[in-house]
Amino acid sequence: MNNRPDWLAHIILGLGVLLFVLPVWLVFAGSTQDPDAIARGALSPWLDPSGFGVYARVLSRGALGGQPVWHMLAISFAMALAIALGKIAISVTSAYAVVFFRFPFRRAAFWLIFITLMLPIEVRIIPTYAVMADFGLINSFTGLWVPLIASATATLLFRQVFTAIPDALVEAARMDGAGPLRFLRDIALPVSGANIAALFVILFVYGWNQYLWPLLVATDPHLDTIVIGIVKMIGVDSQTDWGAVMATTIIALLPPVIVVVAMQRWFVAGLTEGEK
Amino acid sequence: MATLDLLGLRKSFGSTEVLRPIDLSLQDGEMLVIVGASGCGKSTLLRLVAGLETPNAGRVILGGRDVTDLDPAERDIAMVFQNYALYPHMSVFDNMAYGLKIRGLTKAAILARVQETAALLGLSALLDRKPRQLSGGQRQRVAMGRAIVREPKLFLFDEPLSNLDAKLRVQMRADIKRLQKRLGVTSLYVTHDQVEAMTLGDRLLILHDGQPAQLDTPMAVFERPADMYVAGFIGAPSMNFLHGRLEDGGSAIRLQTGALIALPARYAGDAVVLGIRPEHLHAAPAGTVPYGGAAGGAPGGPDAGPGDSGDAPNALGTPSGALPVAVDLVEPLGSETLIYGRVIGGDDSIVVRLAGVAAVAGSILVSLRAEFAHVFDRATGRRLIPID
Repeated sequence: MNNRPDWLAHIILGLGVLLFVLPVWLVFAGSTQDPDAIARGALSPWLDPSGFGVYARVLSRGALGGQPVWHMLAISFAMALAIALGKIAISVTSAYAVVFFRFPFRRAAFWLIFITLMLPIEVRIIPTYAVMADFGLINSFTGLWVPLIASATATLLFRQVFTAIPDALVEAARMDGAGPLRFLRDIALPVSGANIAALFVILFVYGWNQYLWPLLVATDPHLDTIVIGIVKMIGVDSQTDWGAVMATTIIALLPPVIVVVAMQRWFVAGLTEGEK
Repeated sequence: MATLDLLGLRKSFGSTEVLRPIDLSLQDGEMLVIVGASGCGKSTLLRLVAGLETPNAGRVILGGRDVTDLDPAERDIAMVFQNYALYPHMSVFDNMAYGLKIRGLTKAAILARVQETAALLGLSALLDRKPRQLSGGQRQRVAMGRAIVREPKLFLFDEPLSNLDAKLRVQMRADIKRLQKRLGVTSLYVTHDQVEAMTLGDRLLILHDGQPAQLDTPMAVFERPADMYVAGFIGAPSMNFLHGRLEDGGSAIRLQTGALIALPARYAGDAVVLGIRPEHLHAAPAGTVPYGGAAGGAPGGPDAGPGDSGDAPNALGTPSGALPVAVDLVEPLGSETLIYGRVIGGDDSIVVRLAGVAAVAGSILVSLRAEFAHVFDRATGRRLIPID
């Protein structure tokens, strides 16, 4: 099997890495260059070491009279965190109910949750907007994340995780006198730790990348997420400060990367090995 | 410490009756082993007592208190599970302490009790480990410890040794017996392993298709099995069953082969099965004549035995009678040899257990020891009792 030369593998891997890294590098290099040069289409592949000041500038002041980037970062971070934790909280409890309790229409309830897989936010955006408007949650931080936390995917995943918990473990806990909430807290959640971490990473990135819903529900610039902020920086006229746009893009990339790297060990464990 | 009484306990899943109404009484400190093939309802019985299943009818009385409608945790019962069911994310200490913590014991009391139990089981050095860092035998001991530390009125064991290798199983078996006697806690022990059942139980309950087949001491079950199921289940290799009919006023059995075998007592019946354990058969010396009438002769007809008194069947257990057996398979085990074969002239298969090493091929002559013969009614399978 191992008679293929190593260098071939390295070339293929190298090309793959290049394919992913090159655009990011161009953005990074471009962020340090003269915005006017970029606007003329003269994007150099090399860094301009004198141009790093753009990062401090966008972080503290923003561009073109928009919000400072630190504020957008805070909004994005809070939103992504709320979405990830909210999704986990809702899906853990509903999956827990579906797996461990016998109640009428349990199966029907599960399938109802399941078919919402076919109804992502983009499909139900108008009715969702109407509901949020009725609640008076337009242009509020709550409105930004609440409609996004219902999650069939996560419920399905936790259903599988909980189903894999051996019956004997449930029974042992019952003999020990653990009630349903105590079992959830002391046994079911810790045992599913790796899966929760993996899901958290995925959901955090999902929340971070939200674009359409925040764009629609929050017109107040104080609620601009960093993704919205980047788009707003790109003016329709030739005024666009490309250096600022690229710097903000690089900044926007960092938190999801940090979350993934920080939780990598858990993330991989949760995706590959089932905890016994 | 308590007595346990089951009154008319019954369980069915849908239309399948898993456990027919059963009555059972355990004395204080008694170890009762429930044994049976898989699907006989033994685990269901245990789970009913534990409170993990709800019975369709009947009561569970523990120490004079009706616990039928109580939650498992309120029954003061501890259970050792087949797969140990240790909490994988908790240390050994936490595994043992968890139930005590829920009951609201103080930290000092929990510490004292866990340490005492750990010392009893030789787990003191392992208290900080996680279950995955333990060997199978150690996990088993932790599972025992989790039960013992609660100081319950009743222990339930659900095939606790079935996941261990053979050597460890023998050792743990002895440990469990010692512990149970020392703690004096009333115990129900479920197993499908008849050796475990024989060695551990003060009494055995053999379940067959959801109903009790026999309830008695291990030796009584072995020596006087109530029916053919019990006879075949207890003892390894299983008891041989030879089909025949009672003759001579019930004092002899005419086998399918025509052989007439005298019994030490008289029985009432017609179509019967003669049960004889493999170790109660032995090789007859060469030249031994077949049992009376082996050549298909009529009952009481001329006997083939030289110098025999004509009508009388050969006395059992004497070298004067033998069954010819066609050998099918020989298993030398060192200390003994198992011979699998078929009785020549009939349909009955037969297993013979000979001491030591025996070189066998083709066919052998086997004689049986009448005092160890069991007689069962062929229609009902029940053991027949001598009528005089």
